[in-house]
Amino acid sequence: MIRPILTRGEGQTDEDQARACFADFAHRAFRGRSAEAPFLARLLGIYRAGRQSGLDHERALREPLSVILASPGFLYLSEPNPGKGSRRLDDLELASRLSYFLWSAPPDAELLRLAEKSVLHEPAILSAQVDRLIADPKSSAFVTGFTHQWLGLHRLDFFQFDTKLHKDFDDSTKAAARDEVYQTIAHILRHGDSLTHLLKSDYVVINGLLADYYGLSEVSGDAFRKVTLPQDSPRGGLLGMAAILAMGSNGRDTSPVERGTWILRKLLHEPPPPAPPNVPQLNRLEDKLLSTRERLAAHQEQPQCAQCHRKIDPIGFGLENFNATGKWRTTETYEKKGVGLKTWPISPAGAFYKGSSFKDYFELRDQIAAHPQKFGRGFTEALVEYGMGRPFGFLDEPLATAILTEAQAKDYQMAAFIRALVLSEIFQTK
Amino acid sequence: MSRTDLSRRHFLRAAGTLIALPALSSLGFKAFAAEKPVSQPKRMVFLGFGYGVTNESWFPSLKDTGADYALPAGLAPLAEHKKDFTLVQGLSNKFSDEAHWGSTFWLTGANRYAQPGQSFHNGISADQVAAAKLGMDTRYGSIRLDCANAVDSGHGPGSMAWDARGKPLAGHENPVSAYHRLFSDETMPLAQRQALLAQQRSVLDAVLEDAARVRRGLSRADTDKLDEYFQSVRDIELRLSKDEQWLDRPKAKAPFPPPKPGLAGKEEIKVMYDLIVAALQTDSTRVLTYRQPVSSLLASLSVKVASHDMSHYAPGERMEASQKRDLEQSRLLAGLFAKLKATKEADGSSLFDHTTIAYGSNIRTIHYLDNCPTLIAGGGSGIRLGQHVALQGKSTPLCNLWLTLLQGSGVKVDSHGDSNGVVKELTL
Repeated sequence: MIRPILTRGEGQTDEDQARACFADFAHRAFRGRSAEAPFLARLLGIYRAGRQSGLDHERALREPLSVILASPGFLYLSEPNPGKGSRRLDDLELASRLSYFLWSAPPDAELLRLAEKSVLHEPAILSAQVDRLIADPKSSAFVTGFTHQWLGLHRLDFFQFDTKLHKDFDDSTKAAARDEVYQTIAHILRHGDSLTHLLKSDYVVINGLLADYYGLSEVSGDAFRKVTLPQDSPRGGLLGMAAILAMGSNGRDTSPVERGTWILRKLLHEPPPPAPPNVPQLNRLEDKLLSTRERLAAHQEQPQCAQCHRKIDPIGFGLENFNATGKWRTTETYEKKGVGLKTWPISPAGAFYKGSSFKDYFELRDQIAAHPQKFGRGFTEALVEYGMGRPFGFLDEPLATAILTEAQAKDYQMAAFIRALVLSEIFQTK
Repeated sequence: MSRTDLSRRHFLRAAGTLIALPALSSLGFKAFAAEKPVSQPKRMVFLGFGYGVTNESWFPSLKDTGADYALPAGLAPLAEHKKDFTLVQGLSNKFSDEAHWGSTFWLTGANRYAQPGQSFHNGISADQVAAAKLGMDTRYGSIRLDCANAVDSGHGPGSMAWDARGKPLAGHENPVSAYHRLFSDETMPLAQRQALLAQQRSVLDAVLEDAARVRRGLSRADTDKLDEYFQSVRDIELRLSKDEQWLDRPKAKAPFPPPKPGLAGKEEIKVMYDLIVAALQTDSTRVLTYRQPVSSLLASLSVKVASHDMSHYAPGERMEASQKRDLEQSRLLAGLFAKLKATKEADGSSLFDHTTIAYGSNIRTIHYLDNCPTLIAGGGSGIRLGQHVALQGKSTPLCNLWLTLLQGSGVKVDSHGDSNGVVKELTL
């Protein structure tokens, strides 16, 4: 789609060329819509004023071109709807909606060509375009933008990691750990793999740095690639990823509460309500040395706290074999200045509230992986929000059910969710 | 599912954010107020320190009120000014729920979730309400001072200053940039600047032409969205008018040479305070806000504890860091007060006598958002000074204070944010 802005036809004057240049550039900037004559006339006026003030031809073109980029036609994706009720998007609008969804960028020449022929909305063509957009490297904008919001990755930047305690979780490792989440999802998306690989899989998508971090051998270099895991590895799937585990910490110690909450929200689609304001500090524990489990037991003392924490905390305890930066451990040590130091063996056993019990992390992971439909539902709702650019509402329930049903028939293939959304009536309706 | 239900949620998605017109900032103008006012003008200065204070050593005892209260250790450096400021306890913003946002809602009191379906909303801040009135006759309606990485200092996202649409107004992140904005003259000749202004007007005419095309056929919700664009254009028009008004008048003479680049922490705050005095003294503006650095302040005091960790203090190293921070901030503030008192107006009164200084944060201490630390100084709004006021209960809106100060400074408003009246305890 990169074409020169300036081309000069036979016998054209500077002004002829300027006029043609503005019309062409505006058409591209406005994603296939044409600017109107009075607007173009104003641009030409600015060009002329520039020439009069002594600018040469090319310099005088700059200001009007920048005006096009400051105009609502470029800044807003507009989908006019003067009547009451809703209407079908036209093909040009659909092209923009699709390309901003999957590329965060304007439609390319092929999308515009199909839109101008008014065939883009035809299911076979639209479906093929979805596949083409996903296969294109530009879809990494979707992978990062969507994943960041869906999984709440902003938390990774919420605190500084204590590099005295966690020497090898420096900025480079943190960046690689974050990238692992994106690269894994990009891999699943582009290889037609199942969403359920995110719950449990026999491979990871990592680079050399992360292989060292996870204690996996024979990977070198900065490029991310698929690496098959040994049978007993705790990695493979979101729960084994350093970035996800590190978000469930405060940069120093693990937070079983954060981890449990994240799993309920993102993997099991059973979000607990947000913490109430003005929770009192528990000062009476200040001079005692307690294990994490003992400290968190305080959550269960007050009935209003226990109501949620009895659901949250046990899940988090199941991940205690991972330290604050996602490294595997079997004991934990806690030090309090002036009080002393305590070491205890990790006991990951627990049970889902009013549900099955697990003896360790591996059983916990299996039990979570046994509910792909819950995970798929949460993913679908996040996808609808991202694709439509608005919160998921109860009126979207039938859509989410339809998408999920279609994806289930394709073994939860990630691309199938996206295709089902794009082909839905809601996506193509204003 | 009915189609009419869906139409309510139609919306226009903004591909860009704000209007990105060619830079308008480097125009030249001049300094002094348009006309010499008969009485000395009122000024307002809002100083925010992000992460709150040390609860144990900054607040006086709630039982020890009135004029003879014992000044707590954290405020000790302000002792010589004790009769010139008032401490207020019991104020808070009832909608605030973000424990790391010390400035975002401090002056607005807005409900972040006031608009359904939007995860962030804000309202106009008290300084901008003041600027609309007090800023009419000065070159700058208001000046916003800021620090680098304000989020690390507990200020929260955006700004301290928010316009009438609840959009953040950017500030100067370092003293050098603020200095040049206030005092450095343009090198461009007048005729050229006039031509530039004319061109900027024609740019606005052009984008409005395209806006008319886009507006056709939009639903109501979308029209509201596009109105933000029109409002941006109107704001720029207002700025252009102001620019034209000051076009042929040189800026005020700076009372001191430009600050060294790269100042951080303690030195940075000190120079920013000097710039505040200079801006008021030259009447370049009458309203200022400042998001003070906390992170670099700690570094400049050789404190090793990171600012966020310090804010979560518990007895020991972190609490010591927190108290050191309080003390240094109080010392710097005492310096500002002294300078404002030493700067005389034409009638022999001091700048301090006509200025209101509000010093505080939306965060009390650690992660608590009730009883926002509040210190008010100066004679600008005619409140009772030299007092420790403990308001009954914990639920007086902070906006009641802003309303009191605005009204006291001659800004005619009936309410601000979630205010439900003035703070009667502060009025004479």
